[in-house]
Amino acid sequence: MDAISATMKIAASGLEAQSLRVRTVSENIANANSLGSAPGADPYRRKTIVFEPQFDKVLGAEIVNVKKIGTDPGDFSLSYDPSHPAADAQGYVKVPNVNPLIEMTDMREATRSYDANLNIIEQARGMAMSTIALLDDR
Amino acid sequence: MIDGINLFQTVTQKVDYLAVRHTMLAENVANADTPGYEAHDLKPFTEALRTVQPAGMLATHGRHMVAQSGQTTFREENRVQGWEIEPSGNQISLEEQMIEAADNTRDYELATQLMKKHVSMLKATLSTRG
Amino acid sequence: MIEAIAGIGYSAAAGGVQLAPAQSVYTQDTPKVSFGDAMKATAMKQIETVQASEQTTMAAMHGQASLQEVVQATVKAELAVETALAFRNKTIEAYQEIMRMPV
Repeated sequence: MDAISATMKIAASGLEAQSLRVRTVSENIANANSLGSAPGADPYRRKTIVFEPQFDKVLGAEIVNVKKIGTDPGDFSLSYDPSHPAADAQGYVKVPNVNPLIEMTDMREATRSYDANLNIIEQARGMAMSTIALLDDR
Repeated sequence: MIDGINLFQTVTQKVDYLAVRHTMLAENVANADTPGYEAHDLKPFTEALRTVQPAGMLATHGRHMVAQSGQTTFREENRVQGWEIEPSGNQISLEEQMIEAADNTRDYELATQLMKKHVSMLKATLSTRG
Repeated sequence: MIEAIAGIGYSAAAGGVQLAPAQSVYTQDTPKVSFGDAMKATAMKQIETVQASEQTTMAAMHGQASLQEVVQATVKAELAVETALAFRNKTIEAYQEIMRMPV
């Protein structure tokens, strides 16, 4: 495959990966306060996303692939709220291990990376057009 | 005119080089958040010219092949389409890559435009009408 | 021609416009340059301009020339080529016209 087409495919894999990342972070943000429903039950557990490079034979280049979407094994912190259905015997409720600040930063970075990949595609498109323009008569 | 032929050859090679380099940059950008990924780049043009191997001729060099025999690949050993790769170092920021990508695109536009101009100048001298 | 016009002077003392005899620009000492030589010199200059643009383009490929340098050099060369062509075409046209004249 020629270089410019390969460039676009590589950047497209980046777009896909960053999209999934944005989705994962959005889930975390949306569920930052999702508590359990039964006494002592676990709340929402933070999701993580892991990328890995993948050599694509057709392109002859390393695209990015989502290895897996897993969960953050960190401990849940406790919040004192005896009236809540999920309160344990001592009146404590387990809260999700989601830190909104971290998620917002992650979201910003994911968006930035997404834009960067989009830029690469735009540039590659421009380069392809310039090459075709060589055929122009004047 | 001997100079002219050399000029076209060099400009063509530069255009080829820049296209392949953009692929490298795309890889770096796509894998910017991939743990353990090391960015790479092509060697600078002047240096890379000395050791470039035309991609089509690689089929004769058996030990350079990474893919199945009978197929020439885009990438082999330390080369991409004949151009040598060098590592860029571990901590490459997205901003750096995007600056490089912007420069690369501009160089590509310049090279193709110059090619176009020199071709049209040559064509003009060949024509018999005004 | 400018010098000839300059020969028409105003002299109030002499009562108005005076016509001085036109002075020829060409004196004994003017070097005789043939038309062919002049054209050859121009052609050489144009070839140099084109060669300079080729050299600058090569340098630009290797990252040795600035954007402005290479664009300037190329624009100059393009102009030189167009000029040379226009001249060549006009000359051919004139020749053909002369050839058409009934003797």
